[in-house]
Parts: sequence; structure tokens; C-alpha cells
Amino acid sequence: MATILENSSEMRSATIDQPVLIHRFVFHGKGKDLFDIFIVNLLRTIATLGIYSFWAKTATRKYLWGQSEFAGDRFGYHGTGKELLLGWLKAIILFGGLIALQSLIRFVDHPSAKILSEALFYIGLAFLVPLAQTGSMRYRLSRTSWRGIRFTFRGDYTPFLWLSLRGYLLTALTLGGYYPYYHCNVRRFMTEHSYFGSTPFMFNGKGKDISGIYGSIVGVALLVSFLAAGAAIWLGLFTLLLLLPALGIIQVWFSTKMRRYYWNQTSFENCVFECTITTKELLMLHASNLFYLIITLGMALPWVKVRTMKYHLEHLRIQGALNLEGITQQAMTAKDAGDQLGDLLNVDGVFG
Amino acid sequence: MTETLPPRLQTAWTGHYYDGRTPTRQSTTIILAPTGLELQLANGTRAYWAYRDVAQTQGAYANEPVRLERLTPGQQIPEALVIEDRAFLQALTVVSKGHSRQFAAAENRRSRLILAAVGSVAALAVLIVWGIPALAEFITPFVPVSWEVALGQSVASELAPASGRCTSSKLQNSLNTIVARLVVNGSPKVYDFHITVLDSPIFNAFAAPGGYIVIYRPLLEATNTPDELAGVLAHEMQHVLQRHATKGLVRDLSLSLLVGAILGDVSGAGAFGVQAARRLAILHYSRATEEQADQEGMALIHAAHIDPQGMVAFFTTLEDHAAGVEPPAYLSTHPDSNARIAALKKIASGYQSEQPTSLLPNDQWNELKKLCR
Repeated sequence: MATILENSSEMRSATIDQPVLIHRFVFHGKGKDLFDIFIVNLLRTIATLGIYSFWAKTATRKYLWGQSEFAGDRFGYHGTGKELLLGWLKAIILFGGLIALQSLIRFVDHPSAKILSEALFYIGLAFLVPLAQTGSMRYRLSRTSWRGIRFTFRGDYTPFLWLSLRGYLLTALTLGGYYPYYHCNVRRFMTEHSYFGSTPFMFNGKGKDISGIYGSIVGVALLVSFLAAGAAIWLGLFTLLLLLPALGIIQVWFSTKMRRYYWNQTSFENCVFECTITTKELLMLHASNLFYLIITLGMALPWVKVRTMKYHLEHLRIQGALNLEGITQQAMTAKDAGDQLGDLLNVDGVFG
Repeated sequence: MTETLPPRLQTAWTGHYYDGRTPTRQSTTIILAPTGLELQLANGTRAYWAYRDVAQTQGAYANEPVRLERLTPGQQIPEALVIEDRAFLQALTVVSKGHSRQFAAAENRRSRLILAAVGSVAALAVLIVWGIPALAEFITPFVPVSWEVALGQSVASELAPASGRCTSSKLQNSLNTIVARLVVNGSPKVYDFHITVLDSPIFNAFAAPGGYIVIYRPLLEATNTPDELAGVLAHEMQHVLQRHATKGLVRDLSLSLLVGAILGDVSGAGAFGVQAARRLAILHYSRATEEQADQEGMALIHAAHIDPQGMVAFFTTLEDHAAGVEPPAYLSTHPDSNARIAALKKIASGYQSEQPTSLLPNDQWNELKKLCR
């Protein structure tokens, strides 16, 4: 159903005997169903003074995963609310411990206590954020299945911590110049340690390319800001109001470029991912979402979520002959703390 | 429900089988037997899944295929069956009778949902109106006084910076004398009260947690006798003693945690910070807490043998100020003066029997209160 034989002559000339197969993602979710889930979640969360929120999150994920289809089969979500609750408790202890330690040092009556407590907080964060990043990948992938086979994340904390610390340090030393390379390294680490069953994903992206995207974006943003400043001087301050939407458009343009680049550099066995989102469509999506949210006072949130997910999923596809022979189940246990630590620290899921 | 199966019930279905070890999809026929599912796979393998071992993990929604899973003992990952035709679910619930609660479509939930929506609103209202205040009442006694003092100190130094404070030691001594009378004779000694007079054009007074009370110069100058000022101080001291600000903070914290949980942002700390800052900036209390501060404040006055008419007189003066062009800020946080004066008079008349002892000579008061200029 979702596997379509593409017959364009252009593609045929590229690979002479083998037909190029396109495997598509489909999202079947409906705003109405998600709205129902949200309402029930809301009631139970209130009735339990918030404790149900972990089960609510699980119910929502179960629905979203189950409505996502790849090559004719739905994904499955296997996490539980109890895992999220326990994970949250552990994350609170870790993060809360850091905050408590910081506050304690602050009370010490010494001139350098304040600086020390501040420094301790950021050093602690530098260690916790990578833990949250790997932890949430490990948890989410291990609880996701397709055709009964689990995904896994096998990246260890220690090498990722070194990668991150090096990234923070070099970014600071190069006044941000190293950041695109660090960003690309994180993506590589995350992708290459992700497995479907026994087979890993592969990543071919280069920091140099990301650096180019960042460079062009910073250049355009600066140019626009200068133009706006100039216009403000000649035409009046009201032109500055145009700067905000202009920067918003640049931001969408940037995230489109990044997303496309990262996915297009990702492969699995001899199939490559292809991301076909465009800045224009994404802008339209964001603008209409914002409009719906405003006129419904936020009630349109489930529909907005569904539209966004549908757009992103259905603009991602896999090209090539997908050979699933030889892939076997290699499910692994995963700690439950990572996911919630990620939530607490507001660490985004690495795969957007 | 009838004992025999409905005549036209379809018992043979087709679907796909996944063994949980490889991603291979195999076609299978599924026969609904009375106690389980009989599977006949495309490769000829047969299997039997007893209903009691089967769990439904997908298929609750109209556009979702039915997914059944069975975990074989010793295995970590279950085998699975996927049936595209959702009519299967109806047939399954009929045939599996005793186990039908394991299998459910999410249909006919409309009425349940409306109920849930109404229920959420009602539950939320109950929680906000009664639940959270009760919780704050319960938690506040566990908040250490040292926290309140640290908080009050920073609030007082923020809202009444040292540069704007009145420095007359004579005035300060008189204020301390009044407070000492109120403390010795009335309240248990938990808080050290610090009274500050702020040289500011605003007509106001407030109590920060932990015993930090700030009187603005115009309010001080509006008092005609030391007894009147004692009334204001007793009222503000009771806000501290009754821990009104702390209760408000605990209430805000609970509320923002709840809202955070509902909106899925469990940390919610940011929102709380904003709330707390707002609350401390205006130190606004509800009418109930104001009434309590009046009533208990009057009790302090009585225990200290101070003339209760002073407090009544001051709030009457305040009411006259309200008639002016610019109502004092103190009024906006202490509303409903007429009813309040009546209530105060009533309490005062109950305490009238004893002969009050004077605080400070009244004729010196007019000079004292102007020492701030």
C-alpha cells in the first residue's frame, strides 16, 4: 500500500537493473480522537492531583505511534506510565540534588560562595544534559517497535559525555564557530547508535556542511537586521515590527535546511532517507496552526499536533530495496530515568 | 446474551502474524474458537492462542488495525497478530465472552467524554476553591520560620531600600515600644518584628513574611494617636503571625504545579517564579485573611491593654481619605471599609470593659510622627 514502484526514466538510468523502491510513512491520526484522549487525560490528571500525567503521556504516545505507519505496518509504543513516574522520581532526585547543593553553597558566608554555586550548577548541567539526551533516546527507542521488532539505542553515556564536553569547550573557545560541528557530532552519535533489531542506522553528514548552513543563516539574519535598522532610521521605528516575522521566516528556513540535510544523510542498510519538506509549506503550516490556536483559544491543539505530525511524517521516505531478511530481534532493557530527565531539563528529542 | 453464537457471526478471518524474532510478515487465517484463536500460517504452521493469554494493544480507534499480542513464557518480546478489518473486534468480543473485557473498541465514548469534560471542569473548580486552600493550610505549619525570615528580609530590602528609610532613632524607639507592648502581652514569641518607616509619597503599609513590617510615611502621619498606629501594627503583625503570605505562596505553588501537570510541563517552576514575584510585589490578601487579621489584631490590642477605639478610629480616618481624589494604595489592598469598620466596632465593644493604659503621651505624638521629614 505504501510501497510504490517509482518508474521515472531518470531513476531507472541511475540504477540499471534494480527498480528504485520508495517506502513511505503515513500518519493516520485524527484531531478528534486526540482531542478525546486529551480530555480524558485532563480529567484523570486533575482527579489524581497530577500523578496521572505520566499515564496520560503514555496514552498519547500509544495513540501517536499506533497511527504512524511505515511500509504498510504500524509502529507500536510499549512504555508504561509507571516507568515514566519512576523515571521522573529519579530525575527529580538527580536534578533536585544539584539544585539543593547549589542552594546550600549559596548560604555559606564567603565572598566567592555565590560564584562557586553558580559555577557548580552549570558544571552539573554539563554532565546532566548529555545523560538526559542519551537516556531519552535509549528509553524511547527501546519502547518503540515496528513489525514486532524493537528499536534500540546503544550509545553509552561516557563517550557521549566526552563528545559533549569537548563540544561545549571548543564552542566557547571558538566563539561559537565550532557549534555546527558539535551539533553534527551529536546527530552522528545518536544515529549511528540507533538500531532496528540487529541493524544500525548510518549517518554520512559532515560538520563542514552544517557549518555552511549556519554561516548562510547567520549572514542572512545579520543582513536582514541591518536592513531593518536602516529602514527604522529612514522610515520610522514601526519598520522594526517587521523584523520579528522576518526572523521567524529565517528560522523556519533554517530548520527546514537542517532537517532535510540530516535526514538525507541518514541511511539504513542500502536504503537512504529522503526528507521532502519545504520552507514554504512549513511556513504555511506554522502560520495556519497559529491561527487555529488563536481563534479557538488553544482548543485546536490536538488538531494542530496531528497536522504537524502528518506533514513531517509524510514528507519523509526511504529509497531503495528494503531488505529485512537477516534482521533479528535484539531488544534491550533501558533505564526509565532518561526520558523524564530529558523532559525536566527541556532537552528536545534529537530526532525532529 | 444468548448461549449459542449468532448465526451470521463470522468466525474465520485473515490477518498477519509476526513472530517477535524477525520483522517478517506472514499471512495467517484466524479462527475464533470458544476458548481461543486458532491460527493457520501461510507456511503451514498451526498455533493456538488461548484468550486469557492475549492482550489487545491497538485497534481502539476507527482507523487503527486490531493488534493482538501474546507473550510466550521466557520470551521478552511478544508475538503479534494484526487484523485490518475492525469488524473482527466485534466478533471477538462476542465469541470470547468471559474475556471480552480484554478486547474493546473505543466506540460509543461520546457520552462518556462529555461526562469527562464536565467532570474535569467541576473537579478543577472544587480543587481550586477548596482543595488547594486546604492543602496550603495543612502544609504551611511545616514551613520553617527561618525560610520566612530570609524571604521577608529580601522583600523588605527590595520594596523598602535602606536609602528611603526614615532614620530618626526617637521615632524608631517609639515604634519599638508599641510593638514590644503588643508582643509581650499578646503573641507567642516566634517572630522578631522589624518595623520600618519608608519616606515615600504613597499611603500604604504592608507585612512581609517573617516579621518585616513597612509603614509608609503618609500613613504614619495620618494617625492621630499612638493607639491608632498600634491598631495598624497589630493588624499587620497578625498577617505575619497567621502566616498569610506563606499560605498564599504555598497555594500558588500547588496551583502552578497542578497547572503544569495538566499542561504536561511537570517542572512548572518558571510559572511559579512569576506568580510568587507578583504576589510578593503586591502582598494582596483575600477578604477572609483581612478579617482574620482585624479580629486577631484586635485581640492583640486588647491583651496589650491598648484602647481598641484607636484601631476603629484609624480605619474611619482611612475611609475619609477614600473619599478624596486619589484613594490611598492601602485601601486597594484593604477593601470594603464600611462593613469593616462596623465589624471592628463590634469587636471593640466586646473588649470595652477594661480600662486601657496609654501607650505614649498623646500630645507628643504629633511631633513624633513628623520626625520622618
